[in-house]
Amino acid sequence: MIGDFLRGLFYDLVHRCQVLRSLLEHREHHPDVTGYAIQILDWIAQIEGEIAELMADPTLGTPPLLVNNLRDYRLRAQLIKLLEWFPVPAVLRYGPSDHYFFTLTSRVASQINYPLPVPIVFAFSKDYYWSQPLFNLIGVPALEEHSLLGLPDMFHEMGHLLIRERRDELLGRFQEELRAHFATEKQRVRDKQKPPEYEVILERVQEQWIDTWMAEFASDMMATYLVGPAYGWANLRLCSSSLSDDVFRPGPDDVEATHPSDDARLRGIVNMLDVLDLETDARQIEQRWGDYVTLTGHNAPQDYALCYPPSLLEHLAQLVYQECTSIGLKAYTEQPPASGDTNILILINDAWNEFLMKPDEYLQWEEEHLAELRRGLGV
Amino acid sequence: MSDLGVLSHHYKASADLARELNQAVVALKKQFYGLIRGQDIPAEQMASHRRLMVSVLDTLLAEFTPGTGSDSEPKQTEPTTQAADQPRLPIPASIVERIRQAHRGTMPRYVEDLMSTRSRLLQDGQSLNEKDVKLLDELAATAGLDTAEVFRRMWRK
Repeated sequence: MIGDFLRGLFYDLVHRCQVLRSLLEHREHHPDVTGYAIQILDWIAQIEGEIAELMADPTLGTPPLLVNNLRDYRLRAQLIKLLEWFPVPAVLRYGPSDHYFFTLTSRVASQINYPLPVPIVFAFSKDYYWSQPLFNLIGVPALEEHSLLGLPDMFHEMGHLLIRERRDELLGRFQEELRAHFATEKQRVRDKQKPPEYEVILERVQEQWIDTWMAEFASDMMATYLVGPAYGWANLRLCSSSLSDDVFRPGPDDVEATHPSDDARLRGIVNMLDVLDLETDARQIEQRWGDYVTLTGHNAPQDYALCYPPSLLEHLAQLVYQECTSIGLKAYTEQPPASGDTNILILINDAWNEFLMKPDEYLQWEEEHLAELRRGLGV
Repeated sequence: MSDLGVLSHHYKASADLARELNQAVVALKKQFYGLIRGQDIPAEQMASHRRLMVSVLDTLLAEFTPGTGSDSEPKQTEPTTQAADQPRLPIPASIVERIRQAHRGTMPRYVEDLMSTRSRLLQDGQSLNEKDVKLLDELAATAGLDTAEVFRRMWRK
């Protein structure tokens, strides 16, 4: 009977919860993650409670509800897997590199007036920087501990965490404007009697904007708001390491990717630099980007602007700026000149200036300043 | 940057909807099919489930009703008692697109079905029929499919 099989699956989930709980309870945790381990135990207890309630329901496994019971099972099984993959190993394997980043992030949080709990950082990512907003967790590659140039990308991930908590305030209004924009564009397609494929493209582009691109652009813009030009340069560095095949993809023919095109993202960063009145930096980054695109030989495909209307990006930059200001986040332009404790935002920008002006001497400079940073952080 | 951050947002939005919608459909089915404890569900809880389902239908109607544009309210050709202060429920665009694709060839008929079901939900759900239950269950299934798809993409990271 499939109903019995389903009941067995729920028992299996209960067992998995118990194992995860046991792993966390029988371990002495680093002080940085003691509270986080308790938080994970709370998440597990919540899932256990929901499973117990579902299993106690006498209708579990009755034919009209079997398909719904399976859906309920899947949702809980997914959550357990996510806990198993992300926060639990981050706590169980917590070590000196994670501690360095947690201390660094704590200092940054105070310098930018970050309104949320400081995220836990897992310092052995195999997938560059990432965040798991569901669990207030950031992943960082191992070598980042020994460099300053890639650190701006951490601010992009913190942007994702902020969006998770304040999505409505940050993006709610913009989402409605997006819908209105694409409704107008679809009407224009009908009025001009363009081929119906255009309407399909617009529907797909709108879907990507709402589900993924909007958050990605906004995270870029928040990172730029917080760490200034360094984020633009770090983005150019990342693109140069050939992470994407074509800076203009995804375009109208392949909109399925979760990330918007590198070119559009760079435009969004420049838009935020303009909002911050950092025009000189904006133009320099724009110019260097243009040089880079020329080198790659990539060209924007036909109807590229349908995907990334400049007016939408400009408007989003203004909205993100307003919302960052209203929640009290300190912009890069408000950071005080270095004095006393190392200002990490200023340090990262100094690093980029040094790299751009004296590339031959940069490594020596970075080594000295990283050592000084470590001393200042006490790690 | 990895896709994880953005997938995580997407997953949360889809999973929250899938879970709430499934819960509402389970309660509805318990009453409709006369299952154990079906009649014991508190009236206020059922009303809350119906409000959720009406919100989902409102969002879909705003997306699918020709001429109203995606930022407009659905055409009110049926009696409505929905509270005016109910904000439109945010539904991941991927779920809307899945439903649009599934009914692309018969959209006018599907919109009529959505409106009929919505109307019966607003009348305390007493006159709901098998077709309505099936339509709502299909929406819950679509939300579940979308959640599973996003989850798989996170898995592959």
